Amino acid sequence: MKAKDDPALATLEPADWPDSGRRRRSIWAAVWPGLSAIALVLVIWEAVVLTGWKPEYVLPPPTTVLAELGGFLLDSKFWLAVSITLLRALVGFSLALAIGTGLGIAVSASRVLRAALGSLLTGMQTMPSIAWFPFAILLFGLTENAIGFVVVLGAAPSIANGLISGIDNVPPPLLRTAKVLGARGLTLYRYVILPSALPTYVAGLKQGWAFAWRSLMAGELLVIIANRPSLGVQLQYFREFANAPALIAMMIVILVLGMAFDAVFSRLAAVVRRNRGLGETRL
Amino acid sequence: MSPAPALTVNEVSKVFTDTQVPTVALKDASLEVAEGEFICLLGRSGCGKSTLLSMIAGLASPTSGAIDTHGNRVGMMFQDANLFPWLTVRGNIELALRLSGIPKPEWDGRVQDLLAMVELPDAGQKRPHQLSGGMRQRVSLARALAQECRILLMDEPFASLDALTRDTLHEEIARVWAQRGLTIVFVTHNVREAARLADRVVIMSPSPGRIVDEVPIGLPRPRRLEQPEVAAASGKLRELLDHYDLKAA
Ligand SMILES: Nc1ncnc2c1ncn2[C@@H]1O[C@H](COP(=O)(O)OP(=O)(O)OP(=O)(O)O)[C@@H](O)[C@H]1O
Ligand SMILES: [Mg+2]
Repeated sequence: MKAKDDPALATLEPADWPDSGRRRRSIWAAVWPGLSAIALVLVIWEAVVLTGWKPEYVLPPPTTVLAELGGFLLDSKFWLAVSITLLRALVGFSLALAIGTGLGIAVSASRVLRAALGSLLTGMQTMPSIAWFPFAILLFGLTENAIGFVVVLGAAPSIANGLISGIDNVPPPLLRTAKVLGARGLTLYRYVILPSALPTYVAGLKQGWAFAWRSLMAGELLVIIANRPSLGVQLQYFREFANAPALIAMMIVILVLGMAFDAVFSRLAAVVRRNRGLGETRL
Repeated sequence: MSPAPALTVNEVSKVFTDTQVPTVALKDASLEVAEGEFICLLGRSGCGKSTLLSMIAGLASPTSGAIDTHGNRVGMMFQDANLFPWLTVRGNIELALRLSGIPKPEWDGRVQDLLAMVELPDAGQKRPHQLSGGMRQRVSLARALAQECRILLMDEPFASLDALTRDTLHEEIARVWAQRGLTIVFVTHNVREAARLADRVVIMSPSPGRIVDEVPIGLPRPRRLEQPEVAAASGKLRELLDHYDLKAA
């Protein structure tokens, strides 16, 4: 007898059945709002172009831009630009991760450091990263280091703050329980405080990534280094040559890359939350 | 000959000074608990039961007086199970084993034994949020036992459970207590629970929190909540509580 025919199970919701059709439907349910939004944007864009508000060499129609985008994918120079930008992002973010995490632990553990740096870290988060560049260029010249410096400054405070608030918000009952179980000092940190802080830390990472990506794009527009054709440099270059289709195509690339990494962090956050039964907060 | 004491509370007071007016949460409490004894602390809200328990657990220190646990390891269960949500049931118990310095090769066997003891042999891979309230308290009990405590402090551990589940857990705790020869200090404001479980009921009274009386419960075990003797004993406890309340007012 198949399980489905079992009368005892007949009252179960259809949602309980592992059914490949259902899975296909649920993927569709997750994807269609995004797809329709994109379609809507394309339609509006096309409509605006058709009104003749701006000449086509300034505001090209979607088809031209998409053709340009397709052309990018076959162009080795484009892939070089992508790899230069991504490498900068990853190196900068990794540094910010190390610095922000270290700073977060230090500040949360030491009363003196907290008094000294706590509000400064929050303040740093509100500082527009582009405001750092004149100083960074003064310090490092038009170099990779100037860009890296600002990327780290943009991302590290968010990461540190995420960790600090995670550590500050460990539920007191869990701390009491851990102490009765014999956890003290470093052991308490390693086995209780840090794991408990993880969801907030991951939220900080996600925000840190967003800041790093923005700082990086600002940096690539301002700090142009010879023979380093990054995405930002390409953007600048297309503007100078008034190549609107390529310019918009490049913006789409930057948007998609940023979203892709953001999705990775969202996924990570969702897994962490689901493991703890926190569910996803829908607003 | 009376058995050796497992826990001695000597003239302990606790004053909280972080409030607007200093609060005397506990005044001159003295108590001696014998090895293997099951004590219930009974009293109304705010009479210092949790305060006393957390001082015995070493989570807070007395303002005056002294507490001696005679070298016994102390475990504690709270009203909420307080399982670590990022760990599985097995992970929660293993953390307790790790923190007690029990060598890793023994963990598997011990986890199995403990889970069997609380009648959850197959729950090891579950996450705390996937368990019912009663199951969570069972895991919490298993975790407390994992650290091989000799004194188990329980702060209204079953207060948030339904009557049926509580009844099962009463049976379980009485069984574990007898099997392991534990010394238990159990906080409750439920007279029937006290009469059902305790060898001796310590009655406390609020403002200021203090110990006002002790009542031995000599009923044979196993006991059941429905027994007329248990009902009679809880009636007597209720009268005593009311009596001390009137006196306080
Ligand atoms: N951290 C604290 N700071 C200030 N006052 C406190 C603190 N903890 C407890 N108190 C006070 O001490 C008194 C005793 O509190 P306690 O929690 O020990 O009562 P309890 O007997 O456990 O009550 P319940 O049955 O409601 O749990 C109360 O008046 C409470 O307000
Ligand atoms: Mg209490």
